[in-house]
Amino acid sequence: MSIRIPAWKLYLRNRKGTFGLVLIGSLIAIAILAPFLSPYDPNVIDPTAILNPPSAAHYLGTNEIGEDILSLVIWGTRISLLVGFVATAVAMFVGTGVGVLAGYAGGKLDEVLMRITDFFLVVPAVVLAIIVAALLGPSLSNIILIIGLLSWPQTARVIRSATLVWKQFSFVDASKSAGSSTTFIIGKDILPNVLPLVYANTALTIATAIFTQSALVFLGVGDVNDISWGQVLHFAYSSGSITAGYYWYAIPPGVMIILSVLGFALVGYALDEVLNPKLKEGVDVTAS
Amino acid sequence: MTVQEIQQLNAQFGLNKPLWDQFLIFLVDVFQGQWGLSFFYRVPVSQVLFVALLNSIILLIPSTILAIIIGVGLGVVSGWKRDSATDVAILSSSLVLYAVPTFWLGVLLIMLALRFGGFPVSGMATVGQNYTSVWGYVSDVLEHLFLPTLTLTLVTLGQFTIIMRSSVVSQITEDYVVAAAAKGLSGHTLLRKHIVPNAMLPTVTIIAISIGTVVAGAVLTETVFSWPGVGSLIYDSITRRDYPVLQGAFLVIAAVVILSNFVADLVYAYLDPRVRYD
Amino acid sequence: MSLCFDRELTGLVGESGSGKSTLAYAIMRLLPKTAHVAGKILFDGIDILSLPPSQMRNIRGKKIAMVFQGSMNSLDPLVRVQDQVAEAIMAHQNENRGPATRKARDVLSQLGIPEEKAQSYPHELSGGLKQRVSIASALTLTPDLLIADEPTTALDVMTQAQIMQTIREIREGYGMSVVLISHDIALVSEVSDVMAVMYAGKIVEAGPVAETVGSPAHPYTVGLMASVPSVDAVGAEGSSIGGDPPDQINPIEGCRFMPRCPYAQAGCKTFDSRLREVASHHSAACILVGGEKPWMKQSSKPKVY
Repeated sequence: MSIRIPAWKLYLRNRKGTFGLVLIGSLIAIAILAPFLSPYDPNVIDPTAILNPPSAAHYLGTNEIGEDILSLVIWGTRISLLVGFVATAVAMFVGTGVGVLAGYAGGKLDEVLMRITDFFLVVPAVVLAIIVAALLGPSLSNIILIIGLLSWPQTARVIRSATLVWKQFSFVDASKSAGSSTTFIIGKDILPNVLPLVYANTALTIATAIFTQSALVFLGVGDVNDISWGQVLHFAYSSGSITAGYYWYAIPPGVMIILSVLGFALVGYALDEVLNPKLKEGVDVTAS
Repeated sequence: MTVQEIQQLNAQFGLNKPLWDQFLIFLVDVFQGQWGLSFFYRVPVSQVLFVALLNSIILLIPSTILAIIIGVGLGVVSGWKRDSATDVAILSSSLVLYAVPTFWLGVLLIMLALRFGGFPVSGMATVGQNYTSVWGYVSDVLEHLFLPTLTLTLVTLGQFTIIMRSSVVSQITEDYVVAAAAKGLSGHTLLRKHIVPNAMLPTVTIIAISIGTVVAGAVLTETVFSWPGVGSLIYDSITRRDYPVLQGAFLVIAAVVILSNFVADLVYAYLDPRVRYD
Repeated sequence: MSLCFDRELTGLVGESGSGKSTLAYAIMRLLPKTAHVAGKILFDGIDILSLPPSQMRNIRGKKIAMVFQGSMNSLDPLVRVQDQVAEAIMAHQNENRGPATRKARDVLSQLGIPEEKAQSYPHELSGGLKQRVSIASALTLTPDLLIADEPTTALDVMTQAQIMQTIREIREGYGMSVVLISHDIALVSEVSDVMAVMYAGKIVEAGPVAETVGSPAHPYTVGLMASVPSVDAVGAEGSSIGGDPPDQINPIEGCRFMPRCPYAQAGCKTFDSRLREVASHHSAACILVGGEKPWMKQSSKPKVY
């Protein structure tokens, strides 16, 4: 017999997860409070302060057209996080739908859906994203859609396995014989039990989405007009500032990406540990 | 162009035929090795791709192998010493490495190399160099290879460490490991004979699925370092709107990934006797 | 907790979670680092709790061996069966792979596993055979103490009988002590010399099996015996012990069985849970020891809990 501790409490005991939450919380706060936190309007150009190293006036220095890098990085949080969240939402929606459908329906439909899913799983998403983005054009909504549509297969797989497992349970059969409609069964019996497995996956998907967006913008394939971390890096590279050695230009956006990916990844791993424990208690061979 | 010329081109490229037919022709062509002509280079796409693929492989293979060896090794140490200071150190560094964007690391290394000298930061070989011997060429390439390989390896190994660690941790409490310990085997022997072999199984599967990510990382690395592989080719073709090459590159990448999955399946069958008799 | 094993077959019974396996792991010193073991475990006069790891390794497998439950998983799926037995030999005797494997095959054939099967992988063998392999690797070095943790659970009755027979034969062969951990009271009462009953992590009764079963000295034991369905009383309902399983994280003060004991008294709250002697070699941890046993007063049917 074990004591029931609510999941969120268990989660907080996990140091990694709590640290991740703190990181994410801070980033979201930065995004929301950008107008107040940013020392300058990021679009303001100061022709007298071109490529200045960090100083009292500009904590992180300025770029090649005189914009304040700290402000750029603060404001960049908005788009970077936005794309991460929305693209993941798309991916979750499609992925859960496909997964539950495939798992519950089985048979031919399952086969077909899984083939499609496998294809997307196998081909590296970034590559596909680059090519599709190049063809479709770099608008913000395009990018969100592309990243979302390339991330759903993983979720679909996880959800499908979970659906298959839960489908076996007798209460589903009970619902069926009681004559409940399929939608009802899916909604009430299967979905609530399957979703917890998705949470860890969601966090990791957000992490990947943030990374993919910055990669796409860096390459110039995404929208280089909206301020985002990838965008700042894009201009850092294309303006030649990197090769010229103006390190303060390149480091801050990279650090922000690292922190956000790290934050979501930590949350994801912590969720996985808490919700899907793999350990058997009571014995330890490492002492031998 | 005159209407006549357009019509001629349409006929030549089969653009008049219904879409389905065009697709079939495309498939047949692909299998026959006819991948069309590059808009930019005016030579068969396959030719362009072949060279690029070779260059990419020169980058991919050492990076992947190193990442696997180091990642798996660290994962074992970390998993065995779970929750110790060593584990925390390894796990944190792996998580950070996982979070580092490939292209940013490349950019960083470029800056460092330029500041402190040491390794060349772009291309595969020094331009306009005359080589006195084969070795001269090879060592030049190796020098150029160093930074891109370093980048790709570092970025990939974090993931592998985390996966292997997780696998080892699950193995340690498996019944057969406890049974083996009860026979009086030392921790070292337990690891070597039972834990690691079993832990490798799910790891191999996941590594196989991750090959796609490694390839993506290679694409980014190549672009940053101007390494003339498939990645750079994709990037350049986008700006040049060289669609046949893009198409071909995509096919190549898909093929590489599928092939490596297949290889991974074979490796798995070799490692796990339960699978072999199917 | 105080037990002594001296060339007998001691059956250790109790519910799931009563601490039976934990006791076994404690003896083998395979408990997690967070576990705290107090007291002494004397083996051949030496307190093995104080031994350095390298010496403990010498004991594990060679002097004290363990067979696990669930033949399903006690064998490494990637290693051939004969190699797993040979492993034990190579760990303790300076043999090379060749001679060790030959010895392993001998032991296996003694246990009824022919040479062709000795080279198989675990998944190619049936549950009964797999369990014999586990027993083989435990017995091949003729340990002084064999701990068998649920060795026959999940096996059919025939195989169960065969395996118990094998253990009995080997024990009689050279005087090995055996601790048989099981929740199957019927099995244990059949084959053991001594029976020990555990509840909530403590031993509540221990004694020669006939006495413990026939005239139990602890209310929990009484309840256990009553809950065993018997062939004679076909159709009669077995009784069960009411109440909830014990809380392992915050155990209660005093006698841990008190909440479910129909004979509980005020003094049970401060009971020190030590074993008291009932008769020679028979002891129980109950406040009622030494006095009248209330469950004997009734008719031959024990009280329904």
